[in-house]
Amino acid sequence: MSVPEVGTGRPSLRAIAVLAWIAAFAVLLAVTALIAGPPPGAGDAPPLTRTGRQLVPNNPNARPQGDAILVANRREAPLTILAISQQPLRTADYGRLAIDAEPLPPGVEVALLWIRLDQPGKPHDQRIPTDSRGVLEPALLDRDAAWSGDVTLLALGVKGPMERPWMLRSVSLQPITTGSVIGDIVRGWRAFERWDGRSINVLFGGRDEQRAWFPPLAFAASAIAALAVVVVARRRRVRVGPAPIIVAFLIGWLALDVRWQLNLVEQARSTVAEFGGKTWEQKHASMEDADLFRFVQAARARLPADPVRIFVNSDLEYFRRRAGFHLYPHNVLAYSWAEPSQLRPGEYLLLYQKADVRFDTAQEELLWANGRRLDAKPLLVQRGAGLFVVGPKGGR
Amino acid sequence: MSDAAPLAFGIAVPWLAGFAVVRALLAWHRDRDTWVEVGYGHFVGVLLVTLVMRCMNAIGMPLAVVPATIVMAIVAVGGLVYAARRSSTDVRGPETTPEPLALRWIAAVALALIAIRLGTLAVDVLLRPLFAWDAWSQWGTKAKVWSSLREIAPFMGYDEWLARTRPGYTDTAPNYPATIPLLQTWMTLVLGRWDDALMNLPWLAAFVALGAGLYGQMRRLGAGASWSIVATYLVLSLPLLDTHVALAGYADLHVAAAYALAVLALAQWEATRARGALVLLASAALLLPLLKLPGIAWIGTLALGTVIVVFGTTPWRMGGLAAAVLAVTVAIGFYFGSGKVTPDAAATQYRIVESLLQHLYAFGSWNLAWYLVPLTVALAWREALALKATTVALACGFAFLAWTFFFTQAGDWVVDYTTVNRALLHIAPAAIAYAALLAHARAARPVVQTAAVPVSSAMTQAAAADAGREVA
Repeated sequence: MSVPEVGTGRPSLRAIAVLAWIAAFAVLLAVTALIAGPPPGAGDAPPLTRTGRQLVPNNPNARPQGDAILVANRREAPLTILAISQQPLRTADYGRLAIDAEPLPPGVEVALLWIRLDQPGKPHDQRIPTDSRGVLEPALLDRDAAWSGDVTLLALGVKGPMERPWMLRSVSLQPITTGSVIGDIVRGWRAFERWDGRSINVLFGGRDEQRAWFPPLAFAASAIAALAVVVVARRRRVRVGPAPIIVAFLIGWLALDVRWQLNLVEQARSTVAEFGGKTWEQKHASMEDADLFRFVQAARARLPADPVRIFVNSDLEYFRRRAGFHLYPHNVLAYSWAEPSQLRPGEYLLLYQKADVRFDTAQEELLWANGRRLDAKPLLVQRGAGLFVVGPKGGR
Repeated sequence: MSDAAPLAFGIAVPWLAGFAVVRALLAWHRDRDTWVEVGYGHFVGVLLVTLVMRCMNAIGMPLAVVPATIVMAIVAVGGLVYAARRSSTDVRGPETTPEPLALRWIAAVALALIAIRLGTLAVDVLLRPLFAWDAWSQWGTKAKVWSSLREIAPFMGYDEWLARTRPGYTDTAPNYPATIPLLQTWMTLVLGRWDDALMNLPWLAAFVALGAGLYGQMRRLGAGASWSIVATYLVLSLPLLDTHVALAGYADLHVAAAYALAVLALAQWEATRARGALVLLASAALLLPLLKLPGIAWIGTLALGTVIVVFGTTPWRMGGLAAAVLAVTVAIGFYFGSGKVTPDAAATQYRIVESLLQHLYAFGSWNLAWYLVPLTVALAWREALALKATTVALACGFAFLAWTFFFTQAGDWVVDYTTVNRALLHIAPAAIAYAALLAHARAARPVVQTAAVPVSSAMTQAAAADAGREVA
């Protein structure tokens, strides 16, 4: 253990570990932003700022309200284009887009759209990220390869029908700075990483794509802080105990863990909003395969109570397997089988989004695109889905 | 709220039975440790309840809660009565010097973070239906069938199912061990209805049990309370481990927990030669092959560690055992890679390395784990050598992973971001706990070798004993 420093009035080695970590991390972040950002000197034009009223909409979905503009996409017209500038501008002068607006209604997204002088008929776009509440975050454009040369049209695209109008107060296209790159790096770490199909295998620590990853910077700051502790200890002629070194590395771990814990809290909120107070069936009816679940529940009501052999097929593996899962404890085959003759009379068949099979109502047969046929009686049919029982002639 | 009582019952009954078994086994060796009994007891309980269900099915009884509960109650009462009759006291490592105030503060923060973590994970465990792909396509399938039929109906491959040679079901992994789906079956039977969210409560219980077991073992190995809490926090805060609790339904969390507890028991046995540690090692290790097929490889590494504790003291023996380690690792690699061994081109190997580095050092799955584990081993190499059996067991585990990543089809799963982290999860808690142990021993290494060494004395004494035998 370290020799105690008594009455020196100087900060302890543990305090130095903490301070050194903070300082090292700040410096590392700035250096990384300089490396990962655009070259120095690029983009020194004055900001291009438009109030909402100054934007030019392409349809009556949008109308000015004071200095702002109110957008209300309808189901029959779910896209509004708001022109920012129709004057040529150099992309090299700008790299950051900031939008002052209300949080987006659910299911709505906003993108910056532009047309380059050298590609007159080809629109380019970059989606504007939002935080977990739907507030649009500043977007950096410098990593988009299409953001180059001169631009002749610049606009915002607002896509998706809205359950309530959305107010946009102003749009500002600004030169990119080291500060804005730092902001973008930190926003990349803070971005809410919602559970998705990949989460069980990998966690990215924020956005999938980042300018700089948090763990290496946190570790480098820890290593520098540990070195600083050793150097200071030598200058003070005291032996370094384990505690300051451990503190230096634990701070790095804690910094990463606080980010992760905040993400878990956000995820818990989202989970409660999605599933809280619901029964088992209601939960499944609100998941991404809700339509399939409802169809399978209806199909189960047409099947005998005791488990039966049932073949399931779909063009999409996800639906095939999910249908299988919902059908158990019936005896399901949710494998992508292709030979109808494998089905025996009295067995069942559930098809969901299977494009190469149609039902011949006159012959009461299922017809495959390759000419195969299956004698089948429909028990439940809806657009793109059906439950059948195999007839006495079976498949051929 | 009406589900609270059956859920508590479903968790408590196997846990209590497992606790009693571990307490009895420790008492048999005049040993006792409540934290360890709680931690290891949970996993022994999982083993017990699923074995009871297998036995019921084997003798033609329908799977049911009451008979299984009676059996486990008998086990629990028997174990507790036996333990009470054997007078034994709580075992701790030698008394440690007071821990620094800073460490105590960090431990308090860590404890608070663990508590918050538990709350946020509980939300997803209790509310979210099976979400991750394998959870509903290969594990939950069996639970749904077995709980509905009240029997362990056989699962078979697609071709066999189509051939209709015998009755049975099919899914994407018909040959996988039954323990995890049986655990979900147990919860479903206790609950009285199918609910693919609530049946996963054992994953949250496993998280708690892993914490208790780690803390208890760290204490038995001589670490103070604060450092033991910090070590436990480091393991429980691993983002991928937390994800496997929240998105419950995979076997990997249980494999990781059982392996970590087994490795710590091996370390304790190696350091102290206490027979109680051997009992704990066996109780955790036995579960591994019953959870997932790679569990065979993990139990193999523990077996090698055990052999080294018994025989591996001279350079010749160590050399022979190292060769055996290599041979067994390669054999296991071939076993799992039969038909999949693909000595890929250098370009493919480069892509695997590149992807692996991203997963280990850039992405957010592991915090700083894979920076700190090798750094700690490098700084505490003497302590690592003192724990040579544990070190070799873990090294063998990493060799097994390296083999599968670089010489089998699993290389594709590194590049496509699928199985790589789940495979690492099996060994990560063990590796972090081991590193925490080494760091603690390294911190307590005396400047003057003759000074009293309270904390790491067990390890240094073991090393000294080995050295003495070699000289003799």
